[in-house]
This record gives sequence, structure tokens and C-alpha cells, in this order.
Amino acid sequence: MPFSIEGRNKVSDPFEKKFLRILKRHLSRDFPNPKRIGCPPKQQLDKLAVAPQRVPDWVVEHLLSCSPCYLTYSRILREQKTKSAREKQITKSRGAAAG
Amino acid sequence: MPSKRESKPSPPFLLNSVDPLGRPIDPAVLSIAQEIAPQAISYAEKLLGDPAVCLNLFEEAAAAVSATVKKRELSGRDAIRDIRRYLYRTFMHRLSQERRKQLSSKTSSESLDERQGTRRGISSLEMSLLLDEVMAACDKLTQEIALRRLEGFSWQEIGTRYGISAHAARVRFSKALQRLRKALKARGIGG
Repeated sequence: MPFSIEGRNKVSDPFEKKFLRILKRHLSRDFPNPKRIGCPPKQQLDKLAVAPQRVPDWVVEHLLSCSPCYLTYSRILREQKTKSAREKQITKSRGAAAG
Repeated sequence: MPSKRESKPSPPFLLNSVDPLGRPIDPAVLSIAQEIAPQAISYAEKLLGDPAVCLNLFEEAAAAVSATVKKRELSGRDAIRDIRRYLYRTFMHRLSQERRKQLSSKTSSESLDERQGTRRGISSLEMSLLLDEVMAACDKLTQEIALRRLEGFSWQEIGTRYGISAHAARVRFSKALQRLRKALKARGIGG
């Protein structure tokens, strides 16, 4: 299967697009856990976003079967993405100003 | 004096400790089943229509999981790590079987639109089950790659975070997609 190795953001493969759409909906809705049984503390999810190697395997497994935790982790990742994009922009504008 | 209006909590789902086939449900499984019953049964109701049938199927799933738990204990195999997830998936399988049965017994007088609608329901249910299976079969790194991909991270960003190349990250993910494609083909579900 030919594919480029460039770090592209956009999903071009329609099958991948569909997979991601259905998986997101499935993880967000199909595993309600109102009493939050077996959920890791939020710090573990924060850690998973920053230093995934330092988080035990069961946390990731849990995310795949607990919608509230998945939604929290999803929000953490989105925040991380926004933050890194902002930092990149600041570095870029500083570089342009210096040059 | 105006009387204060009493608010009654909604009644909990009362599951039997024995399923409709007479098989016992383990107390540990039963307590987890009670937890997930409201959501699982309301989801099933949308597909099957009859809440009583859904409840029976749920109890059957709980009894099947209890039997598996016991079997594993006796044979000294590793215990099921996440009973909640295991039970949910078992119920979904059972639901899918029942839905297929219902579909095959539908009369030919049913309109084409209705038939297409129910087929779509089954496909999405089976797709969810397959996704669970495929994701569970992946290693931790691939699972994390998928979770980041869901949020729109690029291969470069993912690779940097896990200390691998963008290409390696993409290959891992593509292999999981390939497995899903094969599973869909084998079950005759449109990918």
C-alpha cells in the first residue's frame, strides 16, 4: 500500500476517515461509567499525554472501555495540540522578528 | 400548608441472579451488570424494540461471562482483567445475533427503506464490535497512536512523542487498519 511518510495532518484515506469517525463515536458514547469504576486519577491521564512511557498499560486499556475517561483524555490532547501550535507560532514570529 | 413534592429516584434495573436459561450469575458479575444495565439495555432497545427481550439477552450475557470467569478460575488461567468491558462486548455479540435472527424472519412485505435501515443498524453494531476486537488486539503503543490520531495529530507529532519515526507510527496504525479491513471482509460488512 503506497503512502507518503510526511507528517501530514489531514486524513486522505476514506477508510481511515471512516474508521476514525466511528471509533471516536464508539469510544465517546458506548461505554458509560456513571460511577467511574476503575477510573485512573486525572493526573495519570495528564501524564499519559505528556510522558506516555511512564504510565501503566492498564490506563490505555481503560480509556478504550470508559467513555468519561476517554472524553477527558481527548480534551487533554486537544489542549496539548492547541498549546503546541501556539508555541510554534510564537517561535516562528520571534524568528522572523530577529531575522 | 403546601406539601413538599417528593422526588422519587428512578427505579434501578433489577436483574435476576439466574438467567432465563437457568444459569447462575456470579455476584461479582451481577453487581457490574447492574451498573451498566440501564445504558446497555436502552441502547439494545433501540435496535430490538422490546425491553423484556433485551433484559433477557443481558442476563444471558451476564451468565455466560460468569461461566467464563469460573472456568478460568478452575483452569488456573489469567482472570479477566476488565469484566465490565468483557460483559459489554458479550452482550453486544448476543444482541447482534438476535438482530440477525430478527432480520432473517422479516417478511418480504417489509419496505425496502425499512430493510436498509435495519441493515445499517446491524452494520454499525458489528463495526463497533470489530473495532473493540481490533483495538484490543493492538499493543499499547498502537492503541495510543490511534487515540492521538483521533484528535488530528500528525504522524510527525505522534512519532516525536513516542520516540519513533513518522513512518513507523504510520506503519503501525496501517497494520491495525489492515486487520480491520480483513475482518470486515470476512464478515461481509461493507468497509
